[in-house]
Amino acid sequence: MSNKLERRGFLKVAGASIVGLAGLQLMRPSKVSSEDTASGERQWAMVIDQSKCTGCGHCTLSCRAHNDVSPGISWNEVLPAGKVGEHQVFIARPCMHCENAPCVDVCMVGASYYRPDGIVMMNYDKCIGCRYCEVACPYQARSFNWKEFDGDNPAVPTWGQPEIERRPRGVPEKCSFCYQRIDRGLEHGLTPGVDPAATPACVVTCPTGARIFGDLKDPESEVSKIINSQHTVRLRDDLGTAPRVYYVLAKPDDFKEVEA
Amino acid sequence: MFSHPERLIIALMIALLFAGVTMVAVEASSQSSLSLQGEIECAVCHAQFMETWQNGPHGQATIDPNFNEAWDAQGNPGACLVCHTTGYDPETGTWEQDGVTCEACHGPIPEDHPVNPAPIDRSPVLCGSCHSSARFGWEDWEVSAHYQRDMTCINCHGPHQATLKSATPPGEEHFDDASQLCINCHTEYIQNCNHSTHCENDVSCVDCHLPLNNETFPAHTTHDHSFQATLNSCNACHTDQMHENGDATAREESINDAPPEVMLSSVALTSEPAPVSPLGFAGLASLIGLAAGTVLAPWLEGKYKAIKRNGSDQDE
Repeated sequence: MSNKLERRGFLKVAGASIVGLAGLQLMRPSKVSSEDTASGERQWAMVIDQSKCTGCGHCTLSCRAHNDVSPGISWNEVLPAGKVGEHQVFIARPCMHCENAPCVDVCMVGASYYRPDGIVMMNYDKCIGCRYCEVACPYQARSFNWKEFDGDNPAVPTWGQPEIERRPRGVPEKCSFCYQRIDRGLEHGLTPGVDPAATPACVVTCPTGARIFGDLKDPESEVSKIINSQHTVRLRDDLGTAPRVYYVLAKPDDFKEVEA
Repeated sequence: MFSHPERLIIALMIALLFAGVTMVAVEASSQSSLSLQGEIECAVCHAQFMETWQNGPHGQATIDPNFNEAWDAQGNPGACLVCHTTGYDPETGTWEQDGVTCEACHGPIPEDHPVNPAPIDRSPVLCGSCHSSARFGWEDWEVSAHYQRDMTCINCHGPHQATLKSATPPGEEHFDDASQLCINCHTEYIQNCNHSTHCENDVSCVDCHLPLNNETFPAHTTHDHSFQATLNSCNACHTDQMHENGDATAREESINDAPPEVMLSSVALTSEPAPVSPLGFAGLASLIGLAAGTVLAPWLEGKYKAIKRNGSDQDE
């Protein structure tokens, strides 16, 4: 009798674990190849014109307000990048939204994933806080929430109003191309990159128009036109990450008018 | 009869049911109130905007004592209310709301607002519909490099609090310093300016590049948004060093007084040649000598031969 019970117990446990494992396997995100990540009808991209960037940092402040980012974290950093001629230039660094994102590759729980429109997103509920993605990112675009951000956001309301929830403690966060603005704009028939309400906050706030946003798949979008007609570079292209942020580099001629 | 634990469970279940029904009802009523338009409803979600707006010039536009004094003095003309209130109707002389409210700029707010975003025109045209004409500086602004490079009012001004934006949080040093906004972009200027007499005496960008216009009419005083420093900017501090336009007798000194410093420096600027050193003259002379020697050499040679020949003739 006791033998029988033991066997039954064993079978129960075994059955349950098989079902459990199968379930886990189903829940596990299927690895998405890079062709699939670019499968969406639209592919968002950003062009940053270095010759127009004055390093004012309005993009960072506006990002902090609209995405409710703690003052200790920057989703978008503006860094001095040496001189072109006599002129100080800057490089603004949002998340590159790579087509082959190392952060997605290393994420073992599928918390970092590609949206069909190419945006590299975070599912904070799935994240276990291992910080592999933070290490893997060659652009240092991710920051870790060591503690919960519970104070007032000094960038609000001067630079905008929060549009998304604050992230919990123990997860990394990064620029999302303001997906909430894109999605909501599309719902209302707006065109991201053209209508300010559907365009990332940093692009809208830039006083000099140094940032341009749009759809790579639309040949008429401003980003496509620039990428097709001007020389653009992507940061660390040699790594094969295929970033979706393109830079128009500053040339000494660009500042002639300013100096004159 | 129910036992005690059973009674407790039933009681709890009923309590839960009531709580649930109440919550659903409250949720539904608050949903419906959101679609209503008006200040209080806006504040439900946009509390932070409302707080700053209320105490700013837009929030105070109708009740501001300066405005009311000037308005009364002019006999309460309706024209002022077009900008100083929201929804002014010239036919009835009534208005919908005091101040420049949400709907003055974001109107009309869509019926299903939280779903559909409120409209807004971010270009200077919207601001310019009130902040227009020469008396509000629109014409100055139009000639400025900022306007011509497609910058907008909201790059520097917070439209809700209707004050300057600041990259520095409130309470920190330089929060109120408008020049901090300039140097966000014009970094190269601040590097040079720091070592100038102006900066050392705490004269900042806005003191010269944003002088006050229209000081005779305090209610509409505004800064010159052409951002061009004019002679008046210099005069604001250097009046004692300047003479007035077309006024030849402004200076109080008589001719017999010792010449002022300015005169001395102008003397130093006259184009009198510096004395040439003797070595220079010597060099020039040697050059002339060299040229003369080259020209005269054949003649001298002929002369020398002639003398020599004469001598030898005499010897024989």
